[in-house]
Amino acid sequence: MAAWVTGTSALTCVGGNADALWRAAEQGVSGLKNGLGMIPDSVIEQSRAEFRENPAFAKTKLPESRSKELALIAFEQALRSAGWSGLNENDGLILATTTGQIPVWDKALTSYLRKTLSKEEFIAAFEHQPLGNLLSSLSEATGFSGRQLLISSACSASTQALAIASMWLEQGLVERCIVGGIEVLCDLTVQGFSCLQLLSQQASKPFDAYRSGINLAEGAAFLCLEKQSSERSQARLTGYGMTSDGYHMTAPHPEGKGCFLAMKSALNVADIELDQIDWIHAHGTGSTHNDQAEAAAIRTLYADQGVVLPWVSSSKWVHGHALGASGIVESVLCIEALKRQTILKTHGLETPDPSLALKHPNSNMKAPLRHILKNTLGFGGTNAALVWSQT
Amino acid sequence: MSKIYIVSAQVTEDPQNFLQEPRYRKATRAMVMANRSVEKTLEGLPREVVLQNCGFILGSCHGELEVTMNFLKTMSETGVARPILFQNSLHNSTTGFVSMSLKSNGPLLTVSNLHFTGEDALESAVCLLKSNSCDFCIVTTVEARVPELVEGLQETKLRSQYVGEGSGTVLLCNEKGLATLDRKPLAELMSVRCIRGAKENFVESTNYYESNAVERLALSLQANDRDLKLIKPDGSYSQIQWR
Repeated sequence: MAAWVTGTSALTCVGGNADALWRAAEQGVSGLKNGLGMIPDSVIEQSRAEFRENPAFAKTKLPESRSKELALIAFEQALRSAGWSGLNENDGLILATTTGQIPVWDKALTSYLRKTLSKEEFIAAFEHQPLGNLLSSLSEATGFSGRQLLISSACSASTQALAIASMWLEQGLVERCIVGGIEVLCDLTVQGFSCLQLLSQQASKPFDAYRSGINLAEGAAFLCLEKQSSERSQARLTGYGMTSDGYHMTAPHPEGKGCFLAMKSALNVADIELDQIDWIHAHGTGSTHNDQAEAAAIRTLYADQGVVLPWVSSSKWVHGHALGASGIVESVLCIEALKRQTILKTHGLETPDPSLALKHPNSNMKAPLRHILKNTLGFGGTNAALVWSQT
Repeated sequence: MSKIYIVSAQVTEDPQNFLQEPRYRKATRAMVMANRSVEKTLEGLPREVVLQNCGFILGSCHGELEVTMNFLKTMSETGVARPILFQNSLHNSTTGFVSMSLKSNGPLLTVSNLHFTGEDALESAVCLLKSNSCDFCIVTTVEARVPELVEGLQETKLRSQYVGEGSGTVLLCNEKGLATLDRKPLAELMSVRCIRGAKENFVESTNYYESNAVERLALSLQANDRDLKLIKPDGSYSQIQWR
């Protein structure tokens, strides 16, 4: 199986498109401020201007909700990148998010409970509570009524969305598919992760012996997938694996059992051998639990196989952790890496944790890149892995 | 393409009967309902055979709304964010909770799409089974009523939205999965179709909730029906067929 990527978009704290994301990752520029990765207003303003230049969206009003606006802007950017004029009835649309539009309704909810907000105002805000409201809004704004889905599987959501899109194409359910991940920052997630003592005030240091925690971030990215290769093809999605730990609500299995099984499954679907993987783009959040579990899973995958470990790195020091959107934001980096045949180092990594026993590149490296394994691990023991391959 | 079978289907009981059980001491109402409908669906089946290569898909329109509300309320009143409330407030926390009780390593997805949440969960399961990502797949939908919000939301255009609750589960399998079972399936699942933008007449019901398709399917199977048409509040509808 293979799904061919013909278009990409990426709005992150380091810029408004895939190229800006790549440049930041290559040059070691972090977009994190006070430990968080907000998409800067200047990036959104520039992206709005580009959106308005597209005649196909000339009459489309950008929504007030930050999530909806970012979704629509990133959607249009990916379509433009792929040369698609719009979606047809036989196309598919899959969104991934965990927070949805929480900032639109969370304060209204508490105000209503305190009786400082009228029912009418509360109901108006609460319409945004279901995650599906984000998807229906995007569908309505783009006039799309074909096959659609919203996945909310924590930090593996958009990785799973790409896997499902691949299945839709493979099973002939859609002709083409656009997949997006959207995440915005809000008090609920920041305070929540903070009370779990997971957040770092500095940029994260994945796989470092002196790691400091994770950085929450915003992100909006889309990929356009097609069944056939074309002049616009940038990379191929050749493998996917989805598993569960069945272990803990917020911690991964300590031996990375589910993560190992997801990677193994992705390699099987891609029908490639371990020695064909040139780089593992890790989930690498910079939390102790994640680093240990993911490293254990990678070691298990390569144990007794007579194959040297490939390079392993994380890019979260650059763009932070965009939760449900992280898989697709980082897949954009994988696609750019395949185009440029370049392996990225882990910025922020100064003293590799010796207990992890992974192989980290000390600098960005030009190297033949055939296949990249992309991991995500999520709360609830939700794991997903993808194999990205060169065209 | 391989055929997809419905092996078993059940709906939850009243969660009040179970909330005091030690295994549910950290669980939310939605978690209890979902877990009960899953447990009932697996009753009488060879658990180790089914769970060997089994996916789990949970659909919920509103997710863990009650706990989210409690998390926000506690934080605004006391300034303290409580870890247990946060972890339970995540949209996929029910999925994680049920998955822990299943101790399976199969694919684990949470989906949410307003009135088509249940249908999307079913379609995603069919997709996983046809791609051989798993041989069995448990599909559960759940919605928990939030008493503090019912009064306010009853005055929305459609009262029944937001105020119904329930959970249903169906166990699906592909041909490979069925071959490992020493029993006949309830039915072969033929199709799940979602017709968006239609203008059918919705009949309001206080039992309605957005992700009710799986519960309704389970009840229809028990009633020996052969298809199920579910009209949504906006006139759209879905049609699920089996034989």
